[in-house]
Amino acid sequence: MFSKVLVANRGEIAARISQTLRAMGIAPVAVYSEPDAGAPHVATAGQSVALSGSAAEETYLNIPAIVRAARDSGADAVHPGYGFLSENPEFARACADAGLSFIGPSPESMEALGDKLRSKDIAQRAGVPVVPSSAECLPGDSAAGEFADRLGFPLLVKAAAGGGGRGMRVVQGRRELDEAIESASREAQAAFGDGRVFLERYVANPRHVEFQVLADGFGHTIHLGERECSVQRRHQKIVEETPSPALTPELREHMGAAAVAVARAAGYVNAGTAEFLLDPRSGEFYFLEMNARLQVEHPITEAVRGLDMVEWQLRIASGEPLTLRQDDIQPRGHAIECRIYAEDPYRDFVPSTGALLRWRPPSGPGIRLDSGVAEGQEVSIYYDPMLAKLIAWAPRRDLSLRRMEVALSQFQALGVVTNIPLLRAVAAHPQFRSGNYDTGFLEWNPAVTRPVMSSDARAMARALAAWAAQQTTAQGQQSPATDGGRSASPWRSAGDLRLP
Amino acid sequence: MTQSHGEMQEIYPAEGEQYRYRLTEQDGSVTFHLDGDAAEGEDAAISLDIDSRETGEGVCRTESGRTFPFAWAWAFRQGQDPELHLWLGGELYVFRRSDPSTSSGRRRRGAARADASGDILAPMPGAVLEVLVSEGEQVERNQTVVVMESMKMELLITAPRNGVVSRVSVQPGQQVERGMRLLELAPEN
Repeated sequence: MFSKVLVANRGEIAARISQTLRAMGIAPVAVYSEPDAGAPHVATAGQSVALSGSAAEETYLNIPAIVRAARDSGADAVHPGYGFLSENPEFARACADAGLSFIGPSPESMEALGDKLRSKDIAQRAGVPVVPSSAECLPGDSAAGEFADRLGFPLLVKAAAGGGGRGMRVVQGRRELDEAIESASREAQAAFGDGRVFLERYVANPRHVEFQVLADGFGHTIHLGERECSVQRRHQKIVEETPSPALTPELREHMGAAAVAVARAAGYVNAGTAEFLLDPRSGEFYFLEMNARLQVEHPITEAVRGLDMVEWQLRIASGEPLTLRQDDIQPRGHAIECRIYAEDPYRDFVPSTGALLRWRPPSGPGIRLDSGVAEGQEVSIYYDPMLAKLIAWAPRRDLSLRRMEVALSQFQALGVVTNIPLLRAVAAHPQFRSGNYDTGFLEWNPAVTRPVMSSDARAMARALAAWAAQQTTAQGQQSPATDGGRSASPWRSAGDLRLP
Repeated sequence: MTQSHGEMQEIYPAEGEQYRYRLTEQDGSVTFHLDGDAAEGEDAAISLDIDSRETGEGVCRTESGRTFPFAWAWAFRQGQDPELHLWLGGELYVFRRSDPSTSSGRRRRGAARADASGDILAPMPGAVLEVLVSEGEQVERNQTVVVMESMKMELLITAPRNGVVSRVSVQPGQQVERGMRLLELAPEN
């Protein structure tokens, strides 16, 4: 096993990986950009290396700087987390060249599977159905129009590299095509350092169901069941649950076997996730892509399977065999994850920045928080606005949804706008509760993206705001005792300007 | 018992109207009254028992006995008025003080005082933005005669009575001290 591992990431996932490292007696090393100097992932790591600059390109996407940090700090392995360099084969190679173990699949299978186009080929050859798509196309490419006509509209422009909904556009007609290709390519270049995009048939309102796969270096591959990820905004997941309410035991077996078949066909080693589109009406499913990394929503799998995914990633990367058999790991209960974003759910999810003035997460039975921020920290414009993930587990789905709803209602965050009220509205929504929902959930239910304010709540908020404003001045100091509104402080009282 | 009053504006989740209020506080019991237009058609008074042992957080109890934890903090953003962030019942509310002395870019109307000699004086230090009348002009009571800027706020100086402007003592751009003469009104006939 490794003795020291550099975590090439930031935020909640860097903190979460360090947690497992320490529990296994392995020393974590953090890296951080200038705006992240005071971030929890640095404070909790025990050892850290500064990366100069702020933008992701200069810091968390900077391969030479990160490899140097790993070598200089005496690490023997690198964990890439998700996003940033996690699916970049160049980075995996650079680590290997520097004598560092890369905790993830080989650069070769990353190249094959991380590339959405090649992974579809592999899946088809393994007998797994895929969504029809074009070859790679570049901005201004005349072939793009022909592809588009053949596939029909609407269609999706997708980034060949990466994931997380970035570099993805829905195109309704030919006129929008070039612009969509260009902007998706630009976004993909910025996010993943790879601007290649392709076109894919748009399957309207499918469910998004993915399977967790684990494979060791000795040819043993299993799946750890599914995660239902259909509640999305801008093609980005915000709520995930497992088991999926849409799967019958037969369908689960078919899809799980398909996920394992794709991983085997690619010679995949370590943790990966096979994403599928599921047509809930016909029960047909299509392989979308293989995410060759740890997934954001892995904690719900951990909750129902009773294991630590990062621990298995480390064991497999260090050459240990996967000792779990497919039948050993039956799921227990139900788990749900909500992604807490610094964004305004009522104003088209516009990101919110500022100082996190108050951050008091809930706790309780079956509640887990993976957080990348601390009270007082500045939420900057530089990175993804996800602040934390809240996970609830219970023996039954209705109970874990209730636990989630209660926990969200207790989550105190001030200073930046968050999507917590939206997540709560989703958890409480009758359609979500019924389990009968798809990726169009937010479009079908626009009410959850509008503020609800009872007149009682509003009146109480007004009263408390007025009271609170008198307790502390805007300078953050304690007000002097109220004196009937004639205080010297300009922040206090004086309903009307009094002229001499 | 203490009483105070003020004016606030709702900023989030919905950009709401400004409201004027009065607070009466006695032994931790706070009665909140909405004043002015905002009070019409609403049950304008609320009584809450507030228990706040630490700055920035507390629990309030309604008359019907329900309790609600709440928390607050001031948020500062460059170039903007401070915002009061309030967490209540799982929701974020944002407010801004809209008391005249704290607001920017809004106009307040105030009657200036003319002394015995008929001088209209600057009510506070600031800069003259506009002079809206000229010498010899007939003005009416409450007519705006000068616009001043003071503490990030525009202040409309109005005539205290009917009369004729006998002298204009300032020009736009000029800095004035409190009590300085802006205009002179001819004595009443």
